[in-house]
Parts: sequence; structure tokens; C-alpha cells
Amino acid sequence: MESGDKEKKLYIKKADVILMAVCLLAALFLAGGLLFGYERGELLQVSYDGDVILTARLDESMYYLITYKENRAVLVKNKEMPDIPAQESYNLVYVAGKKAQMEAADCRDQICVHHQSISGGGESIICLPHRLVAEIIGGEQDERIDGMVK
Amino acid sequence: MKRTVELGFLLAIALILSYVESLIPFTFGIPGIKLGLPNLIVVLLLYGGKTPGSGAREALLVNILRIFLSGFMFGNLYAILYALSGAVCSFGAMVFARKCKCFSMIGVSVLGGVFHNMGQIVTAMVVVETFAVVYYLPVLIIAGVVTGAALGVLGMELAPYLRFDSRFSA
Repeated sequence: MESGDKEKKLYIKKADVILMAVCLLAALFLAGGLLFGYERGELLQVSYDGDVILTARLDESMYYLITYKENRAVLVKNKEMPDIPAQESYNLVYVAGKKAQMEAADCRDQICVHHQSISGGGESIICLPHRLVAEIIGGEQDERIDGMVK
Repeated sequence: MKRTVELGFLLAIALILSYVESLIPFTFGIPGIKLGLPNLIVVLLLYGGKTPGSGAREALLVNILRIFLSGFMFGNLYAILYALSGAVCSFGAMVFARKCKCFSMIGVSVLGGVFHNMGQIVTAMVVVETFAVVYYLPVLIIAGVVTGAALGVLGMELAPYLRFDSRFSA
């Protein structure tokens, strides 16, 4: 290396800055992609009498009102707190902040209502009198993201 | 002969830096993050040869010897395996960056740091047989950029005092 050449080499070059910026951006995008994929993976699944009636994303704040008529479960979803039905029996599932909880129910033991909120894979709230199971599942099943009424 | 002595000195410095690095608890709970202090010597050597090619040969020699010696002294066989996998990726990237001439020591060092961490992640995937460690990758890339840039600046500041231009090209 000649001394003149050396002077040039001892300064940071434009390509260095570009390289560092590209690396940092790639890391950020990768982190974003991984986090997004991770959140999507967590779903709430509600089943009545063994049949899945709802698979919903946990990152959407929503009330899911399940009412029972003649051994059939009817699902209504609502962004606001819905009116509690006066005549039919019901369960009200509330999803917010990536957690799900049983907001209200008219079952006799009220165990499901007092159950703490669920967020991790495999956790569940079971309302035995109404034969309703709400559980958190992994993201493998990507079908039926929105609610489905049986 | 003189060159052999100089390389021996640099190898000794690299080993001391390996030891210093093993003393500093710089882990943040994530495996694979290291300061990469010995890489300073490798980067300096890449710029030390008469031609970029001879610098690469000497840097490779010192790097491999450093990994095995420090592995036997401060680590174990797994440490050597991890270090080698990181070093192979990192060294390849640095030689390439050195040859393309558009980067300064900072760019070369950053590429080395990033590729070192990526090499270690791939090894961890193979050893642990899981894809879950990919979640560490963004953190490790950022860590590679930061430590690589710091070492690159250090290298550029040190190079004139080590008189690499006069002694090492002779």
C-alpha cells in the first residue's frame, strides 16, 4: 500500500453505509415477518358438542355470542358488547389483547365465567353445562379464519 | 522468516483477544452473540498482504490456528465446531468483500460479523434439529453489524500504528 492509497482506504466508504443499512433493514423485516407469522399462529377455536363452530384470530378484538336453540348453537359476532338474550341460554366469549375469556354465560355453575383468560396454545375454557369448549390452537389450521355458523 | 515471526506475534495477539472475549460476559441470553475481537486481527491481515490474495492466505492460516488453539485452551470440541462453522462463512464473506474493493475495513468487518452469526445459526439448526432458532437471526444480524462496525473502526484506527503498509508488504 502506498501512503496516498492508504489515506483513501482509511475512510468509511459509501458502500459500507449501504451494506450496514441493508443488513439492519433485512433484520427488521425478518423480525417483523417472524413476529407477524407468530401472532397469526394463535387462534381461538370454539366447539359445541364436539363440532367446531368458530375459529377466530386472537389479535382481533371481538365479542362472540353463542346462543342455543333446540340443540343447535347459533353464533353472532359483534365488535361492541351485545345485548344479553333474555329468553335463550347463551355464552359470551370476549377476545381482546390476544387473550380470550368467557365474559358471561347463564350456565348454572358459572365456572367458565370465573375461569381466567386463555392465551397460550392448548389452554381451554370449558362450559360443561352448555357443552361448549373454547381453546387456543396453533396456526396450522388456517381455514375458517372468520366465524362460521353450523 | 521475518514474516513468520510477525504472523506468530499476530496469532498470539488473536489468542489473547480470544481469552479477553471469553472473560467478558457479553451474551444477552442469546447463544452466538460475541464481540468477535479476534476478528480484528483477521481483518487487519486481510489488508496486510502485498496483494489481497496473499493477505487472505495469511489471514486464513492465523484464523484456523487461532480457532483450534483457543478451542483447546478455553473451550471444548463443540466450541471449536461452532467457531469453525462461523469462521468459514465469515472468512469467505470477508475475502469476497476485500476483493471487490468497494468496502473499507468497516464493510469487510460488518460482513464478517453478520456471516459469522449466520453460520453459527445454521450449525445450531443442524445440531439441535429445530427451526425455532431462526427467531434469533434478526438479533444476531443486528449484533453482527454493530460489533463488525466497531471492530472495523478500531482496525482502521490501528492499521497506521501497526505500520502494516511498510513492514507487512515487505
